[in-house]
Amino acid sequence: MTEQLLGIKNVGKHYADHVVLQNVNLSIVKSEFVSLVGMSGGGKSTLLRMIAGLEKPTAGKITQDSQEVTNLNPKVKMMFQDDRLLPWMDILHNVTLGENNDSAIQRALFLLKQVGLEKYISAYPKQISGGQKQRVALARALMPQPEILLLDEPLGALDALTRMKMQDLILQIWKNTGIAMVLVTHDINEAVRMSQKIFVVKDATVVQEYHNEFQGQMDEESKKGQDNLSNQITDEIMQE
Amino acid sequence: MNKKSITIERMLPWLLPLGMVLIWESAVRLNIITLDLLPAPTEIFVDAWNLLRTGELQKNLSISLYRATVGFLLGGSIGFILGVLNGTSKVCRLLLDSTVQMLRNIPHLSLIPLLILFMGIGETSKVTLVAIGCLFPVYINTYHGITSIDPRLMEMGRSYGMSRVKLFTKIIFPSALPTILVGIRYALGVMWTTLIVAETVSSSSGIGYMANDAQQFTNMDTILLCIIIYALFGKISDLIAKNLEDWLLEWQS
Repeated sequence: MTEQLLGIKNVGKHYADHVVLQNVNLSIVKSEFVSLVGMSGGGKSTLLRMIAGLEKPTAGKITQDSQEVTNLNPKVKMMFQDDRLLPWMDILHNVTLGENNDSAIQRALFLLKQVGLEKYISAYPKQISGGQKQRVALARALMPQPEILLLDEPLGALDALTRMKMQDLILQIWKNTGIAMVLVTHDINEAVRMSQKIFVVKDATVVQEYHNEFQGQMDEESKKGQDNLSNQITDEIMQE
Repeated sequence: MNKKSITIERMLPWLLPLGMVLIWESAVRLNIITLDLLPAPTEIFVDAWNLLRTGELQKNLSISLYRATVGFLLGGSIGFILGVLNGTSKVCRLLLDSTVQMLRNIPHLSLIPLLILFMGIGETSKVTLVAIGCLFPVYINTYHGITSIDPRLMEMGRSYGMSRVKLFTKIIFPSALPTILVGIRYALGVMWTTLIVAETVSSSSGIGYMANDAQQFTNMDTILLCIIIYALFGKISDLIAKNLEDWLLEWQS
């Protein structure tokens, strides 16, 4: 049995009277690629933020490598829907977050090459496209070699073609690095294409878990399998 | 853009002032305006030359520059530090901002009699007045710049484990810098206005004193020379500020 990396046990979150999440239970193993899908406002991003340590659960506990996550989780990095690049730094320094030491620069150059932006190291965010900015954000998230990469709808603002290319890139990086990935997306097809496991978040909790044997596959048979799974998940979400 | 266009662009702002000087010179030479009422630009130039030869112009120029620079640096620094403190610390903001806002609304030139009483008519009162004038524009813009930072960038910085110092140097300060620089440019204008008044009211040196002294002898050449010097100082300091802005905010263009 593969070692558990992240454990979420009876986790809940509420703000005053508003319950965002309750009794959430799920686990992620090393190098796993999972997705959280569901309606807007369902608590998916909140769950991601709690895993990252940006917010604290009001009930239950989150553990990583058997240690409870109570503050900012250094083993986890997050990619947001907006790139959040610093406009006053060039691309290279956006990836290093301003560090100038040799090892940081070398690693940043390596990662920028991985995401296909090695020719843009001196450009500023203003000078590159939305898709390129998200690739820089991806390189930045990979800099500290996290154990888990949280992807909070990072492809939501991109056009369809750029989105597909980014999906391929993320999958490639996942295969190369073995970093566990947790993707929040509204796009069920995207979740099915990219993930090994899909959790459906509904009514403030995780209601269903789907295992996906068709992850990343492009043949006709697999595409049919993906479509079937997408339909199942959609029905689950839409069910009263 | 080719070299010719750049040259034309650089020359255009000077066309109007040069044109006005030419019209002025012509008007005096053709007796449209009498020499006693308004001396010709060439007369003012001759007066400047004479004052340079006697050393009086340099002496007064340097003392005015000293007052302006020290006052600006002092007031600007205090305004910046207060702006940073109140912008980054809730406790400081609650303690200090209200008081600063109250003081800001007092016309600083009305403090001249008070400053003279407390500090005399020497350098301290003049420099203090300039400092007070410069403090508030820098404070307001620094405070506003810091409190207007995109919270998403701050969250990104925190999620990447940035320390408070790094958050300030890598995110807060660069983000607030455009607004701070606007405050500095505004403060430079206030600096010259304040200096003119301070040197006119109570001084025995400086450009303002030179103008005041010239007025007593109805020496129009020197009065106008002083006005032109203030205009040039203002323009030069604004140019310096603008170039500083262009250099520091290169990423914006």
